[in-house]
Amino acid sequence: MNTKNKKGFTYFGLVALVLGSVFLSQGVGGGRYHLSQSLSLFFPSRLSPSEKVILFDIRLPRIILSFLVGGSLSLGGGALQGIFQNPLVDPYVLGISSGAALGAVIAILSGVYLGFFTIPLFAFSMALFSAFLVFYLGKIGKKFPLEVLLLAGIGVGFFFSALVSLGMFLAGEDLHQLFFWTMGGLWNSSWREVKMILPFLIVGAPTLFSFSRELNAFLLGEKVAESLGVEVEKVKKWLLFVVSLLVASSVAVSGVIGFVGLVVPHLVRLLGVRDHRHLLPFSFLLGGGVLLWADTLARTILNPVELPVGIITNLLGAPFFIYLLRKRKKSL
Amino acid sequence: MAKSNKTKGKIAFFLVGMWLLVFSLSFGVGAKTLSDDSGREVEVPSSCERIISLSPSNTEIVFALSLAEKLVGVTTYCNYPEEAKEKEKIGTLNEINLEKVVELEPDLVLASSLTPPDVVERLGSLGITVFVLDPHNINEVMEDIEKVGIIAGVEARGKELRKAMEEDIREVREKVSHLSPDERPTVFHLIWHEPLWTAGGDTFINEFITIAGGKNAVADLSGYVTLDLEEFIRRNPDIITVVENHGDAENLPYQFLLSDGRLQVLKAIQEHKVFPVDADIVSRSSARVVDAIHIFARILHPEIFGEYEYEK
Repeated sequence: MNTKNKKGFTYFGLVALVLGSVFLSQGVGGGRYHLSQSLSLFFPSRLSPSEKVILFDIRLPRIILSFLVGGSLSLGGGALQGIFQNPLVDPYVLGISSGAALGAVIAILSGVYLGFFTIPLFAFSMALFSAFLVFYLGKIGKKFPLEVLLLAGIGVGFFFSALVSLGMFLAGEDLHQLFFWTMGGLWNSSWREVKMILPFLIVGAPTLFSFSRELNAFLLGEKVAESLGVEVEKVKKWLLFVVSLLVASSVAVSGVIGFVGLVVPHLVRLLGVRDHRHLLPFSFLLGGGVLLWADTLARTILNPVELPVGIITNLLGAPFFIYLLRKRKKSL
Repeated sequence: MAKSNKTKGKIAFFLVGMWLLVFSLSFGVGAKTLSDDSGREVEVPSSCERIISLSPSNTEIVFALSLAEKLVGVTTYCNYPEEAKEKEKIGTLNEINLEKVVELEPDLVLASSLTPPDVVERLGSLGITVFVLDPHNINEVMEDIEKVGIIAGVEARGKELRKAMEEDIREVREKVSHLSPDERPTVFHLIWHEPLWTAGGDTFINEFITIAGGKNAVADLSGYVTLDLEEFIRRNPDIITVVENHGDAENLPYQFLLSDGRLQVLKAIQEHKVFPVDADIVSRSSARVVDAIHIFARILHPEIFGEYEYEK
C-alpha cells in the first residue's frame, strides 16, 4: 500500500470509528446497552414524548458535544504542540483553563444572572482575557519568543488559579457549584451548547488546517521555518489566536477536561503521522472519539449517578501519558 | 473441668473488679461522662456559663434550649435565629480561629462533623470541654439535643424539648398513616442542577419525605448524589422540591427546572408541582427538623396539613 492509500484508509477508519461510536453510545443509557435505542437514530418516530426527549434532546446532543469538545481540545493541543515544538504542551498552556475557571467563579459568586448562558459567557470571556494577557506579557518588541510565552502562560495560570482558590475559600455555601464546575462535566448538555461552540469550530478548524504547512516548517525550528519563507511571528499570532478561541469555547461549555488535548496528538504520532496536514484532522477525529467514550463511561460507570468526565480523562490520561513518556525515553 | 471453672471464676472476679473501678471513677469521684457523636467520652463540666457553637445547627440547638445568653461565640454561617448574627464570630465551619475560641474562655464548645479533628483535639488538650455533634437521622438529632441539655446543665429542658419534638413528629405520622402507597407521591429534592444534585435514601431529606407521607424518588441511592439527567426524566417524580439559599438573587436550579424545555415532559412541571424550600431549614440537623417535616407535609399533602407557602 502506498502512503497516500494508507492515509486514506486511516481517514476512512477514523470516520467509521466515530460514526460507530455515536451509534453505539446512543444505545447506552440507564447503565446498559439497548440496540433499540441505537436504532432509534434511524427510526425516531415510534417513541413516547419522554423517550424522545431522553434520546434526542439529552443523549444525542451530549454525544455530539462530547465529540466536538474532545475534537477541539485535541486539535488545539496538536496545533500548540506544533507551534511550541514541545510535546508537553497542552491546550491550556495559555492559562485558558484557569481563566475560564475564574470566570465561572466570578459568575457564581457575584450572583449575576443573564440567562442560562451566564456561566459559559463569563468563563469564555475570562479564558480569552487570560490568553490575551499571556500574549501581552509574552511579547518582546514585535516578537513572541516561545519560552517567554510558555512562562507567561504558567505565571498567569498560577495567578488565576490562586484567585480561583480564594473564590472557593470565600464561597461558603456556594462551594459545591464551583467544585462541580472545575471538575469538568457535560451533564446538562443540550443543543444550545452545541450551537454555542459549533461556529468556533466551523471557522477555527479549517483555519488551523490551512496552517499545516507552516506548522510542518516549525518542526525544523523557528529559524529554519523563517528561512523557508514562513512569516513566523505572524503565523504564531494567528495560530495562537484561533486556538485560544477554540479552546475557550470548549472550556466554557464543559469545564476543565484534562489530558485529552495533551495525549491524543501523541496517540496520532504513535500511529506514525507527523505531517500536520494529517496530524490535525486525525487529532480532531480521535480526540472527539476519545472524549465521546470517556463521557459515555462517565454517565454509565456509577449509573444512575453521574461522574464528572474530567475525572475519567485524568484517571485514564495520566497513566497513558506516563507510558508514552517512558516509551519515548527509549527512542531518544 | 475444675481448672476451667477456676479460670472462669478468676475472669468473673476480674470483671467485677473492673466494673467497680469504672463505677467508682465515674460516680465516686463525682464527674459524669457522656459520649459524643465522634465516640469521645466527655466529662460533663461542673458549671456551664459560656458556650461556643461551631456550626449553624449547633447554634440553633443552643437557642432552642433557651441558652442564648450563655452563647458567647458562633460561626459566620450562624444566621438563625436573628439574634445569632449579633454574637461574636470565631470563624467559619471548618476554618476556626483557635485564638479567638480560647480568648472567649468557653466552658463548652459544641463542634460539628465539619470541625477539623485537630481543632477538637487542640481545644481538648487546652482543658476545654468539646462536645462533637454529628447526628445522622432525626432520632439522633433529638438524642443530641438531650445530651446538650445534660452537658450544659439544663437536663430537664433538653428532655422536654425532645418530648415535644417526638410528639410533633408522631402527630404528623398519625395524620398520614391512613394513606395507601398510591396516595404517597414521589418527591425529587433538587439541591443543584449542574449536575443534578439530590438526596438519596440515607439522608435527612429522605426521612422528612417519608414521615410527611411521600416517597423519595431516589430512595435507592445512597447519600447525596449527582444524577444523570436522563434518569431524572425516567423517574418522573410527582413533586419536585428545590432548595433556595438566602441572599441568592436568583434560584438557579429553580430557573433551570422552569426554563429548560426538555424538562417540560415531567409530570411535576406540567402540573406546577415545583416548590422552593428554605435551604437552612431542610439542611440543618437542629430542632428545626420538625419545621422541615411540616414543610414537606404541606407540600405533599395540602389536603391534610394546609396549603404550603414559601416565605422568602
